[in-house]
Amino acid sequence: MDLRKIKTLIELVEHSGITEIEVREGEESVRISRNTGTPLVAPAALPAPQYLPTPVVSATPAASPAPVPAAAADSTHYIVRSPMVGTFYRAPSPTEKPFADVGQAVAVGQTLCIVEAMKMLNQIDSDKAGTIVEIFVENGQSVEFDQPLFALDPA
Amino acid sequence: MARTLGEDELLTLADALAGGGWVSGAQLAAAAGISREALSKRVQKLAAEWQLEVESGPGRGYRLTHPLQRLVATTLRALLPTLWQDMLKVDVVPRIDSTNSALLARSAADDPQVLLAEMQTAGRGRRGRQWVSPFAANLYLSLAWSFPAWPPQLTTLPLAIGVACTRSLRALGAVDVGLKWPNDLYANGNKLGGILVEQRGEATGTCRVIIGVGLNVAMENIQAGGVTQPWTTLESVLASTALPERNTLAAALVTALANACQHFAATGFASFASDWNTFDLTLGQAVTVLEGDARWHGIAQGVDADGALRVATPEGVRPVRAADVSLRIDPS
Repeated sequence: MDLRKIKTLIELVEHSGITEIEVREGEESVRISRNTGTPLVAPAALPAPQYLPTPVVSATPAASPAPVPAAAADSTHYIVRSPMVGTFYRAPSPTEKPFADVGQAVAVGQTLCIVEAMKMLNQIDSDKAGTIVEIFVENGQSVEFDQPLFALDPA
Repeated sequence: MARTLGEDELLTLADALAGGGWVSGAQLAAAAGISREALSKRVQKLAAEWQLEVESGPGRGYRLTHPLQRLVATTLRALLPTLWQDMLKVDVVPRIDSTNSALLARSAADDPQVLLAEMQTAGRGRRGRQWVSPFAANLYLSLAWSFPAWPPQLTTLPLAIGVACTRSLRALGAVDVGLKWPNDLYANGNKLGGILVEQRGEATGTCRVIIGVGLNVAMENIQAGGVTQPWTTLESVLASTALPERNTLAAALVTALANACQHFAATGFASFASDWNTFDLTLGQAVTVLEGDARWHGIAQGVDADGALRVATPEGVRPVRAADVSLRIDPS
């Protein structure tokens, strides 16, 4: 879904009294929800896309049932960050499967994603063995230097 | 690298025909120790799998429509400046999946190293796009370079490499070669070459990059099946000037890439930015920028010191640096 459209939806939620809106478009759906009362990250395991203080976006293919929410990242998780500003890609090409998915065990040196800037493609490998518990960025989104990309539960 | 059955045999046959003259079937069959029927099959395979145009004439035998100049590592190396003769490891292979993939998989202990292939079976551009790589028709080469520390402005390296290639091709007489942001090589509105810079790893320690260059040299229409955009070759761009011998051309490009890496480590993009803007084919032109699903228009105004393309819009100048951007020069 177009990022601008999502941005517009966020603004809509922000400037209205509603706490949640879900929009379906073809195979994609986006749900934007907010609840100003809850802390950003609960100390205990928090079901993933839930109520956060500012509007958050969770996009899932409408065709497949929503996955069982994984535990949100906490301090015991290892965070893989972006080494540069660029665009985040989860697969080597638009027609191929993602390098890695939530729930998957990864080894040291295993490729997790690609970050591209100005036709420089940086293959990001895991520097820890573990299980992926969360992927913070959607495919095709731009990322900043040091932005968290993956949370791993170290093996 | 996985060898296909019969690869060595096909290579021997291609080399026997490389000169372009007629070679009798009897002679070829005897040299290979096979029957005339087996030879005929082998010739068909050469045409079908290696995209080489082979003519056959009754009583005359076989010949290649277009003679081949083969890359030879020792010849190429001898054509490099002394510094790179001493420092660069140079390998030539007949056939490989992708020179970038192969170097990514090799140990950095041998860097700087260059790998050239006569043919790529899975040559690629960005985001898994195919790079059409017929046998001995063009140049497909990659350089692996390890910077001792992350150079500042690393993301401008692909632009610097584009400048280095353009300088080198212009010096050979291809004065119409220019750049489309960030580093596509174009001449007369057609794609001449592509550059793919890849990197692995974290933001710490040594920084290893693999720089892949695909340059259309003398590819024929019949070999270009699968090319999805208007293309040209160095041979056509040079027009009145003779095409340099392939090893000489490859040595010039390899030297340009290695020199560029060395200069980039010392000065970053600074020593390339001005030439980038000189070679810029979109300067002052109306362009369409495709960013993900969004599409917008403006006037291209060259790159800034960070390598971002400056595009003037009614709302002001917008720098374009995100990766998933295609640039189309609007018809004027």
